[in-house]
Amino acid sequence: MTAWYQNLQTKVMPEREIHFDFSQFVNENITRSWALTLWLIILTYLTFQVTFQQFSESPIVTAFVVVLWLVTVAITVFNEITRHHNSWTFWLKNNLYSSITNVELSLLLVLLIIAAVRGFFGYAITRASFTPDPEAAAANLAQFEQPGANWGAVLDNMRNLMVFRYPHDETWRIWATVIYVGILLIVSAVIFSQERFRGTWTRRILTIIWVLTPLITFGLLLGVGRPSGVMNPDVVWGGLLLTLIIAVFAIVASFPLGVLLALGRRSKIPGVPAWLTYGVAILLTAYFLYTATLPQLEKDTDFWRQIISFWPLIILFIAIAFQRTFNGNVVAAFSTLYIEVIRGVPLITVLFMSIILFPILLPKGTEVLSTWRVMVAAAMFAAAYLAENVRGGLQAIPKGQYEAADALGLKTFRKYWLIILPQAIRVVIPAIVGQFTGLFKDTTLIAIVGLIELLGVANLISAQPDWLGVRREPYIFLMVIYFVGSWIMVSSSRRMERNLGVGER
Amino acid sequence: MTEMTEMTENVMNNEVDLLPAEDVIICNNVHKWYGDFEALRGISLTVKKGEVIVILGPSGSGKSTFIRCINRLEEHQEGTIVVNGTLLNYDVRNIAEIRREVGMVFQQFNLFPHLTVMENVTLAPIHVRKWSRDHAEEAAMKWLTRVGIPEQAEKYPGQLSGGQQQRVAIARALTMEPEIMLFDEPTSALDPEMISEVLDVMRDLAKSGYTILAVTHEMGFARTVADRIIFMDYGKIVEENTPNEFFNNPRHERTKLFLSQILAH
Repeated sequence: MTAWYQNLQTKVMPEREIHFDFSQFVNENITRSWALTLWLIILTYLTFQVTFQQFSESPIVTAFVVVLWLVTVAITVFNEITRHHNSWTFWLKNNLYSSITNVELSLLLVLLIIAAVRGFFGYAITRASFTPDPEAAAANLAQFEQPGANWGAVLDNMRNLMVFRYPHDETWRIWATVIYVGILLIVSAVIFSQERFRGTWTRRILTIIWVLTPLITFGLLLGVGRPSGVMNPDVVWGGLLLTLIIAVFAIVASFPLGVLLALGRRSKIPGVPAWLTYGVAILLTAYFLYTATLPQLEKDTDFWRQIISFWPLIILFIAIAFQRTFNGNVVAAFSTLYIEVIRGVPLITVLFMSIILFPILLPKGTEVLSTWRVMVAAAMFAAAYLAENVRGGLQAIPKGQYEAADALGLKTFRKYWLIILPQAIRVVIPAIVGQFTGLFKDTTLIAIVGLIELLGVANLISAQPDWLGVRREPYIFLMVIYFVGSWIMVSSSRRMERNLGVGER
Repeated sequence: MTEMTEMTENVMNNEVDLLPAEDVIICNNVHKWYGDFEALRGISLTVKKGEVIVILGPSGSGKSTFIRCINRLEEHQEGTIVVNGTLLNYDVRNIAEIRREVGMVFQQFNLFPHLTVMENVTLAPIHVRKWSRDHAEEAAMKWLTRVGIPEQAEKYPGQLSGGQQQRVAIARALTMEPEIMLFDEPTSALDPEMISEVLDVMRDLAKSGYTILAVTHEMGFARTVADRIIFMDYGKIVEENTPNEFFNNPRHERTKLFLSQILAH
């Protein structure tokens, strides 16, 4: 008795047989429903249109693409109906040519992508002008029927885009900051990634330097030690410099604040006892009813005004809400209120409040510079969102971790500092980095409240007499800067996740 | 409160010296409620120094709740618990004092996944006992050797087997040099072949004079190692007996039913 697989082995592949039923194919792929038929007609029409149009634009490339498409489709179809795929027709069948729609879409998209790339290169390079001299640039662009980008506007304004009005003879301070931070980053990348530096003094000193870095860089950039005194940041900071200062400050300052808010919102500290809350609330209500409501009732006869004069009752409602929702826990109540109020308000509102409302609240004669106000506003805004992210991380930590820390006798601070927060923050690194890239890009809103950061400079360029109306080029440049900045943040977070073994456990 | 013994009264009056030295845990009429549900209904138990006590009972009988009350992972609402001469009340210093002297091992190990085995074990001695790192690491190595896994010190908990993780958890508790060890179903989450390696360590500890309170379903361990067996049901101690008497000659109907069910399968 032969084994069953011997029979299989003897079964040699015959000549290629064609398995194809035309009417079945049409039925399944074209006339299955009227919507499908209609869609295919539209798609075919579009594909033909685009192909012909591209033929007239650039015949050689289009012809090449179309021929390549025809050949591969033909081979794939032939292999499909003879059920004899090789590896690449199998891939094509699965990924590009799995249905009539996809066959057509493949061609359509390739042609459109080629057209877009060609269009962009034509605009950005072939038909563009790169001279910072406005007159030469105008002459350059005049040769073309469709003039391309006028990069001269960006090149001519590069210093404005980077640092705006920073004094020329203090430029070394910028370079010093860049070099200082650069060296620090490289050194820490080495030291913090290597296991053998764990818990050594090298690492501790480096941590201390990092903690001092904000002070050092602020001092450098503000011009501490100049003979004529410290510079005014509202005047000298601008462009990318201001964008980065605000973004970095908001990120760094919002982190501890956000963590504290998250812990505060989850805090279970014994609250104010109910009798105290209600007692104080009743006393206050009674006092205001007596001093404010009674005289008002006697004075006013209008019904609605009389109703409004009962406003002290709101105190009672607030007291009830506070006791019911938070059990008298002041910390949790404050954190929750802060987070929800900030999250319920757009960033631009917070910025406007810091610029317009805040100075009114200050006592006469005191002034806080706009730059500081905006920095603090951005940090406070970010902290509310960060707090919710961190809270998510805290909720992901199993109860057993808290219990194990408790059972070992760790007190609250050490329990959170050594056990809970390292794990909780590790879990939410992706979310936090996502939020921080958002914050970095949201700094553009500062242009609206009057500080000249990157977007502000870009807007100014189109108003310069030399480059009147040149808008697109600075914006494209901004796009590149923001993309590179976000990409650096995202990729370094990915590396950090890998080093910390997030998601591995 | 009427049943309060003279000893606990003494503690409450801070006359700790009158306490017999060998009674390390004194529980008197301990009650605990979860909302309306009464989980513990008056537990009274005195544990002498060096005693090994195994707590048995069906699930939901309050065994775990009871031993978690001893180091204040759960809060009891009525009755007194005195551990090592310290009254367990709302005073944070008392709780800290007790937790320093009581080690605990959990069903789910609860190792800190972001720290290495060595860091797990030395964390509490360094930050609670204020030992130097060298001293703590030396002690940690001693205990890791005793539980048989010195070579795993630099690994992370996630890289170890369940049995190894539980032995790290035991070493972590022991490095704090506690007088009392609480085991909350230490083998229930383990594969069958890993149970024995953990039980061997526990047996070793019992022999070397630790006071042990263990909630477990390992009848063999209970029979051979325990000095006393406590059988709990519905939040009460139903029977308290030596292992021999308990398994061979149970007094209560509930105990007989329990034993017949677990020994039958």
